[in-house]
Amino acid sequence: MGLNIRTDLIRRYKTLHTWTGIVAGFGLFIAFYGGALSMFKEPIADWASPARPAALVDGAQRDALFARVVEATPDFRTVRVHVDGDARTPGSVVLPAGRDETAPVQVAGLDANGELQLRERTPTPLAEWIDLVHRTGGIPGDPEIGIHVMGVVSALYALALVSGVIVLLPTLLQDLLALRIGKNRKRMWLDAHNLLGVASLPFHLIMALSAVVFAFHHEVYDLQDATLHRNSPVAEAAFAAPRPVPVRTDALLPPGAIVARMRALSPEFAVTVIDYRAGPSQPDGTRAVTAAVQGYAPGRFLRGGNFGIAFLDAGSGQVLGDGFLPGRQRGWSHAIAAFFALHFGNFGGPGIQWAYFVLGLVGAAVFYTGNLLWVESRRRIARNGAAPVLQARSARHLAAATVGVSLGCVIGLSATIAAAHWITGRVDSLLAWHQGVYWAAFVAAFAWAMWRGAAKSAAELLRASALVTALIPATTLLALAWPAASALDGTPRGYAVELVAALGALAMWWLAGVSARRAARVPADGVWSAAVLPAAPTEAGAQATMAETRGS
Amino acid sequence: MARERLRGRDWLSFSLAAALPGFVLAMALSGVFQYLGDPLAADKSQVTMWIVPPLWMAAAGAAFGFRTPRAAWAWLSLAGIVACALVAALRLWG
Repeated sequence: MGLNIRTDLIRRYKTLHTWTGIVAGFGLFIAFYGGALSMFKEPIADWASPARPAALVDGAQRDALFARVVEATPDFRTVRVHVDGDARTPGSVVLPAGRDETAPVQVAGLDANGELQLRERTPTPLAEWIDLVHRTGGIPGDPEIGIHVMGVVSALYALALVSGVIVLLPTLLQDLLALRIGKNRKRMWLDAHNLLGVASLPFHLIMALSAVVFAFHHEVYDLQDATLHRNSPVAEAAFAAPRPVPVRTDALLPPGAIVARMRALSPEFAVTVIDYRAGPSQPDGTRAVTAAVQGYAPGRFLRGGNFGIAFLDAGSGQVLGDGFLPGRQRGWSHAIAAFFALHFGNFGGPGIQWAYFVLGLVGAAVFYTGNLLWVESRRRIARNGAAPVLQARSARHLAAATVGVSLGCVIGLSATIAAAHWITGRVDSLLAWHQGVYWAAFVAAFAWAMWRGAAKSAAELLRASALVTALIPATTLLALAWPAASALDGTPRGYAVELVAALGALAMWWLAGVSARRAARVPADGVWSAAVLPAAPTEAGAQATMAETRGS
Repeated sequence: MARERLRGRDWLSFSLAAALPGFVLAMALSGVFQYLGDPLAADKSQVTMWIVPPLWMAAAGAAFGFRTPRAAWAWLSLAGIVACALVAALRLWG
């Protein structure tokens, strides 16, 4: 029933699939595990947020506070007004330091005498850092380096998807719906890998291609402007800045008026944040001010991670740009919003968020089964007598490195989350601490895996993962009796983070037991055996360990 | 049919064909997209950027399907030249 593709071509694409998959697999585990956690950036940020220095206000009070801040800081670049009221919300009117979401902000409030006060508040960098691990693979240094590395990883990933589908085409109908569980472990893993891969192919294509875009969009735009769009008005059209009419800053539309204006434009759009962005002062003292309005609309594609956006003239309320306003998106803008939204999974509320969370973990399982297949093939070839020692070593190192990188990432992320309990508000550079904790745990786990080998370290590092993850809810519990145990604000905000961490810890502990039992059971000559014997290539039985590890 | 054995040099040449003429082809095709129809339609140039990676990955995947690396280079380059000519024509008379 298969398509007629020449067998040597199939073999060629199989080689391409194997190598692109192996090379990309390590980075992709981190991208997918970190990405799954990033689906819950806001709840994590809420959980780890320090107390806010001034009470939130709304309505006329907020409009008045906004006017006071504008009056007191006539040369402001951006005044941010929060209409939302989550734990992560720093205040109702805020002066941000710049584009860095982890930098301290000045929060406006009134003292007992009604005098304007600006108090500094450092937002928790925890959720940003998890997101950064997702985007950079946790590679230290300038994030741009890691982002570009992950862009290359994503391109290899896209090639692995294309070649994998081509390899599967000739026998698609026979193989796809067959899951042959039995003695032939390799067959079973191949079936599982194919089934998971094809079933989630659209998701994987979206992720691979959009991640290449995210990594290289500046380069592609610059190249297109320099070549295709040379001397064409298209070159400037892409990101033409909105041009509001300059006004006196005491004549700006207050936040309440902006919210009302947005409601008229798109009734379903719930405003969360208004950024008043002011241009330079004109000779007559007026300034051009754009109101960049972020908000949310259920069931719509959102251009930002968790928000759609519109631009208004903050003096007149005139619409400067509504291409990415949920409910008014149309034409090419709607297509763009769809591309972003399909990556972020922001178009269907918590249901889609959880679906993306699960798809992320399933994706990791696909890379894992892929690595298992490779290790298993090495073993077969080695048994045929071809250069066994070298292959045995590479298979062993691959297995150990896979355990080290994946569980290193798992332990590192759990450790950096748990650390929020102890360092928030108690150290100077929160971000550096969160990063240091992640890297230390990652490097330690990786070194442990390389030293102990895949079989032993898988069980041991899973136990460690479970314990470190359990610190997240355990510290919360301890702080109920002994408040100094946690630096996090003790006000009730639900226990979702603790609950998920506790369930994760239980799953990891269970998988550790499975791994340990496998390691004890399989023949002693495999990399998956805990027995100490001269190196031999892998043993299939305990490879289940790896796949289960992935799911954690 | 004799079983094909690719050498390292062949793999390198296929990969470079995927990376270079494959990329030029993808860029040129994105240009055809931009200048076919209204090039100044709102936000169209962002879509033009977005479609480069899918086109590139498709071309890169196809590069490995040619009989020889030389054929991959030749056909992808030819396709790229045709697409570039199309962009030029669309920009001149479109």
